[in-house]
Amino acid sequence: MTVKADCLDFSRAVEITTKTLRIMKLTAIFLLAGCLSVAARGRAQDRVTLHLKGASLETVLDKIQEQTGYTYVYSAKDVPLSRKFDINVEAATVRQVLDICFKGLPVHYEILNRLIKIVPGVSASPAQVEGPRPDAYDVVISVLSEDGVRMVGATVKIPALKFTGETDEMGRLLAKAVPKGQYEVDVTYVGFQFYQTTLEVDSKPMTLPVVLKHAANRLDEVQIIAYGQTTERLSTGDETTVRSEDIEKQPVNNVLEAIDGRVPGLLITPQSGNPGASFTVMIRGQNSIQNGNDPFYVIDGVPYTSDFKLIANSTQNPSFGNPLDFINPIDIESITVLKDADATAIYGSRAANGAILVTTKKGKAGKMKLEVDASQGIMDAAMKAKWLNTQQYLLVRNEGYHNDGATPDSGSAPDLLVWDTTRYTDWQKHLIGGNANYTNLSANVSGGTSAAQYLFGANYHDESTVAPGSFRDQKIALHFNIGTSSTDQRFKMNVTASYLVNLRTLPQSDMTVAINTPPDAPPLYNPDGSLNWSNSTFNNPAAMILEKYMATTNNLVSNAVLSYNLSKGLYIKSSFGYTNMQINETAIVPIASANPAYSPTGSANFSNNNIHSWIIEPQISYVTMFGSHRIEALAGSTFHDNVTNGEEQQGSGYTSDALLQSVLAAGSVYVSSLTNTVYKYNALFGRVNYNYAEKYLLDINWRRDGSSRFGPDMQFHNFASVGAGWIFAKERALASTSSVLSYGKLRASYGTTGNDQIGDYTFYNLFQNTYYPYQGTSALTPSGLYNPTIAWELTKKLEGGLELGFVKDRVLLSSSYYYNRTSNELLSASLPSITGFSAIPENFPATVANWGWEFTLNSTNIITSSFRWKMSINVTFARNKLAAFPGLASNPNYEYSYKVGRPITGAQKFHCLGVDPQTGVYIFADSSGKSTFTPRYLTDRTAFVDIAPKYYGGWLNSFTYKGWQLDVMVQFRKQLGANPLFQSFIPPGGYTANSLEAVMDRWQKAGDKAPIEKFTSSFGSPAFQAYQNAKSSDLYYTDASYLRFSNVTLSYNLAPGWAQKVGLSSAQIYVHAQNVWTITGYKGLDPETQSTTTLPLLRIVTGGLRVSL
Amino acid sequence: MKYIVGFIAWASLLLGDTGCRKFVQAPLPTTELVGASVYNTNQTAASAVSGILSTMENNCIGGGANGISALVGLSADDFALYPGANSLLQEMYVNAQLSSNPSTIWSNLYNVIYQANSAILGITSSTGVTSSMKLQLVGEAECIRAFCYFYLVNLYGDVPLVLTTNYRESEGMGRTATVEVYGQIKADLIAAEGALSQNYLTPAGATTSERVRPNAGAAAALLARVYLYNGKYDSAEMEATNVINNSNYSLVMDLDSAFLVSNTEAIWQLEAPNGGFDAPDGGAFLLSAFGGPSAFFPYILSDSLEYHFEPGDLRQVHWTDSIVVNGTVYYYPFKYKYYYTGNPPAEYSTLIRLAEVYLIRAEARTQQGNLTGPIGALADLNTVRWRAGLGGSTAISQADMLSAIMRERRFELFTEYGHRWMDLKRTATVDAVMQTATSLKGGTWAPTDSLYPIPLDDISGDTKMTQNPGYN
Repeated sequence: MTVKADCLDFSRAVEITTKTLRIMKLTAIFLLAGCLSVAARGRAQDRVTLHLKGASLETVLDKIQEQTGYTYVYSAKDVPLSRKFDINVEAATVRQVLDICFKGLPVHYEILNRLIKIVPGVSASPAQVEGPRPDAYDVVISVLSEDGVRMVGATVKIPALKFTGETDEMGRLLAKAVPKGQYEVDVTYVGFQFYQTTLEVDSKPMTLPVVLKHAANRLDEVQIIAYGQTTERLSTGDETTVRSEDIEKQPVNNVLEAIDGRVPGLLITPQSGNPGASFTVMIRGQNSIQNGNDPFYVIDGVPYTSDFKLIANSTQNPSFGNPLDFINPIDIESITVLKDADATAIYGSRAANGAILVTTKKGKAGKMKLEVDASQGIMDAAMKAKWLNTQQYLLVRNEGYHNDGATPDSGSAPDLLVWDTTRYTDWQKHLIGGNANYTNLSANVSGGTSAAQYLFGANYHDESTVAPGSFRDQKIALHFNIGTSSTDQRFKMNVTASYLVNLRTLPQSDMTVAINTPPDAPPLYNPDGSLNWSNSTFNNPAAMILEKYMATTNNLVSNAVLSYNLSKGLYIKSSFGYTNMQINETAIVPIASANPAYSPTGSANFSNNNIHSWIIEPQISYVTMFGSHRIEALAGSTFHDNVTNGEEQQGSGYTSDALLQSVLAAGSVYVSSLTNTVYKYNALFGRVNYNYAEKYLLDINWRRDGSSRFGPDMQFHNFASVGAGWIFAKERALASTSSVLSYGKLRASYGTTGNDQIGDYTFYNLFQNTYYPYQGTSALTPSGLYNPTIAWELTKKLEGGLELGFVKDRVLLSSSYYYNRTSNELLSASLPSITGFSAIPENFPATVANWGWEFTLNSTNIITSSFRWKMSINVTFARNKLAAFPGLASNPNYEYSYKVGRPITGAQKFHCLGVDPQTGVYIFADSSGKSTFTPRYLTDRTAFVDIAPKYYGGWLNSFTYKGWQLDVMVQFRKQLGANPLFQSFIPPGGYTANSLEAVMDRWQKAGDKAPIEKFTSSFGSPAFQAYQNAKSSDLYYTDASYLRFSNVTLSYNLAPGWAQKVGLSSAQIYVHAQNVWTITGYKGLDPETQSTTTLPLLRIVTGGLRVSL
Repeated sequence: MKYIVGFIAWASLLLGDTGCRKFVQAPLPTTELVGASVYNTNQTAASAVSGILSTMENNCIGGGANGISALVGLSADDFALYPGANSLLQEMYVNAQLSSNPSTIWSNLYNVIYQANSAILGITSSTGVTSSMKLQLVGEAECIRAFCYFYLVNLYGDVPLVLTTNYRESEGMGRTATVEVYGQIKADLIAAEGALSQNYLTPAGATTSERVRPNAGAAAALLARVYLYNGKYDSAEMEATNVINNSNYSLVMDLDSAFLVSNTEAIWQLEAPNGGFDAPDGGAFLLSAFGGPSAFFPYILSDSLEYHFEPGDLRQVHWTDSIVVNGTVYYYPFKYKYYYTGNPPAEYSTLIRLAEVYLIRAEARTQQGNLTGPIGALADLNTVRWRAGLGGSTAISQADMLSAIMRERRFELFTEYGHRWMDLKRTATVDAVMQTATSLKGGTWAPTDSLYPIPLDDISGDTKMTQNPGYN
């Protein structure tokens, strides 16, 4: 097909048709290779070395392209490609070689931006070609990306002619009858650098080749948003992107760890350092009082579960693990966090808590490229607490008895009377002090042409644990992507799939629970190798090594996007997604792990869980431009279906440890849970985006949602938002007065979103099977009352932002203020129990407000030819309060937990006045401020403690010197946390368990002023009761602020010459370190997990090699 | 043109809202049943009634550390409480309960009543349940409902009589006079006795040896108890006779067998869950299994009980036991002898058994003046005494006979389903006895302590509900 004659009238000399325009077979593939090698080799490589005999012109041109990366544009019929000749040049310039090639031929060449245009005619004296008018000629602007991809929809402007247009599906645009003269031409495209050149129309029709470079300015890098993409510069919403180069540097098991501290407003708190531990992930605070506060996860457009269940009794996975464990971090191209209404409202009822969009890597056109990365490292518990040694421990215990006037007996104090009190074991070192191994191997192959691109990646990941015993967490992941398009570029298809298999063999319990074992505890093993129970006086922690947890998870995430260009600017598109996560788990308690004195039997717990979902989203979009106006409109629909099936069986009464993994061998089996839920979801959505001269931006989003989670009376609802931006630095008045200010944008948005994380079938009165049958047949019991009016929780989000760029955008400052109000909170409404149930879920008019400031500063502090120092700081100040709760005072479920005007993350506590110097026990303030030993729950909780961080953020410094690069990431958080001295149920000295060394600072005799009360050994003693009250007081909290060097990486890129000598296009050696060092005054194990019974975050140091061919 | 057609087709797909409405109707879960659909077939309706019995077994009715036997026994003088027990137990023990810290007895009983109401309403109006199954299942549910209301009126006084499942109707309900509640209890039991089989049945309606669904005998026995409490002695005697004459029932001569599964003395038991555990009261009281009393296993028999068995009373030997810890002897109830065996349970929670029915008839006959002879009280009283290895009662006068029966009830029915507490109350001896007992326990008795407080949540959530005197 030739380009339509009625709109194009080219001269013969440069006629370009789809048949004849040969951006030689070299195009895409070699161009990419060329670019990469250019980048690596520098300008010296514009030189060509050829020693060929009888080579065809085509071959020679191929070779030149291969060696230099120059691309050709020509019409095949004009160039005698099969002409054969000899050529012998050594380090010749391109021009020298081309002169040899075309010597004597009726063609000449022009070089423009590494693009070689071959045109008929003799060099330097071009033949006059007849044009339509002697002084005006047509110009074709052809836009390619630096990777050789035709840029469809690039905006081309010739201001002097008031000419504006967008390139067609071949990446071209025709400017008709351009009068002779010189013109400035501007080309823009999302994610690429602004391109400006001078077009000189002289005496003939011509082609203006344009090659766009990827944006170097982060303002212009592509940001994935809901159903589309934008850039930081042109966005009206608030979104932050973390890219693969930052993720890949971090040896993490779950990608959430890698983005922790890098996104303002996003608070990620790992619950422990165990593999597969869960995370609390919250964007801009807690919106929902009782229901889910997870963000909405989307992987390549497909919603991904945020909630899933592992075996409930495995403390290895406190709060059930995290589903992103089963996404390979290496496969991720970028993660975008959407925060405000403008960015999230198009996700409607699912985006009240923000959204996290994960985009996986895609194939890119270019030479086939193989990348291999191998790393190996060690992990250890990064932080330790100081525990009592045997001498101190015995002192604490004896003093406890002494203070109570009691004498220890062998039943309650074997540590004093039965065990060998000269022994000392550092249980912290023994149980969590080991070194674990870390191995990661990955390889991927990618490449393709402009018509089809592919990527295939494979990854193997293996971690052991710091606990004794041979335990591992292994992952095998595969990822592939294929993109293809029809020859006319109108139909496009992109298919991606990621598959991950995770094999875990871990202790069922976090062995950290036993680090408070008394330091004089007996040996773990008897001489015969069996566990030592010391005549039933010792709770042997080594039993946990035998109590294994084994899990196999298979996770598939796949999607396909098909699009078709109906006519100029009008596209129809449909995306299809399918996900399937299958988790099989077994947890065993062998007979060998129990004290034989109780004639134990074995038990085992089996579970199978499966979540599978599909989604179809047909969409239609239209883009048009006229003058300086650009309008983009999108409409679409979502059909989503999510099915969860699960089953858990408990087997008990096993008589053989060898058969524990067989349900059949159990003495008795019961099904402890059975789940089958279906979640269906349907929506219509639309967006209109308006942009005037890249100065005034307006964005309107709308969504109508229907969800099966809502009661039958409340299934559909509308959500909407409006966002606006003003790039004021573009205003002439400002632009001319200030040369320092290179970019400035004010933006604001307002809109509504919902939260549907309220559980499936909440509104039904379901009858469930009881755990055990009754008389051998099933028994059914009702789980609640029917309420057809249950609906989403509604969040209204308001945001204002100011973004500034200085010194040609070398310093970028972004600040935003948000104010979110969540109402319609779904809470448990109490009912008098005479109704049969004490509560029913109902939407309340309670309102929670979250507000705060977020700042990000990115700057390039120093840049010289060999040294570069870049820095990025973000900090978030967040606040939360219960803005309103009508009827709170008379609501028995909540009146004691929440207070209007106070944060919902806080709690009312007694105010502890410290230790009474006379009696040596904690005293408290009563409601009138007077001291009391026995504060009353209802009236005396005068202190209010909020454990939400006051501010938090991250500070990244990145230094490059020649081939070296050093990155240092620091995270910080100001917060209150659980006081490690009050974690145990029983006060120090009270039972056979060790305490932290800090308890030694205790009251001993009348008149002492000490922070810790006297030791006690008896239940019910005044000191015991005071300890329990202290646990409910402000003394239970302590400063848990910290500054953590969360990631330090050092890498060295081998000089390109060396790499090439061994046949590699690049090679890098590196050291990556995670959780290197934490500065904190917190006395427990880890200020982030704030527990003395869970494993602190692990320090990981790895060394590795990355090469590409 | 074809683009326009395509566009219209596309747009109509996008905008088909009617399709959406259908799309978001998620199918019902396959693991659970929704509302009324439970009562569509014989099988699921029977499962729902089994579910009520299962709920009873697993809540305070089945027993355990927070069961009726334990808590109501604590209010009376059956137990001494080991120090350090949780605040609820301590408050129950010294008769100083707080409406803000209620036991679960109230809410547990009303939850069972909700289920019974749901079953009675649902099965009665069901078109899928056969008429013979309707008789059985509705009768069972009525018997259950009567049992629950009996405990409510005896522990709390006037209580709301809820016969609906609609929480909008029941949530604002005030109290119903005790006499009216008793009217419903009797109506339910009479209906149940008429509808239910004399045999013990399975959920499918077949005969079984397990006595874990209420039958006509259970309804009659409960009815005898209700008539006795109401002073309808002739009716009480008649219903008791119905049970005693029933060949299903006889006293077991070996006291160790009185709580075994399907023993002949049991009239209504609840099946213990088959997880290797036995009846929950075993789990609460068997101090030997837990190395002695502690804050978590604080139930010790009171001195007034343990040291006042008549010499030679086999019940002291077989139904109580002791453990010595640090030189102190702790006595504990040993009626239920198993806690966890890992095997199918040997014992079931026994809601009502034949010995009580003998004592009901003895009391009813005494009250009617029939002390000796073939229809006299003495024979029934002595039947119970002889089984305990004791000689015949020496009581002669009506007053002596009554006090002998009350004494016998104490030593026969101790730590079982609050009998001691309810007996003290109905015989108006509660103030006199508890004045002493409470002060021994370390508290102060007030006459208003004989009624438990209504949970605070029910007072605040129900404008018509009033608190019992003496509580706030």
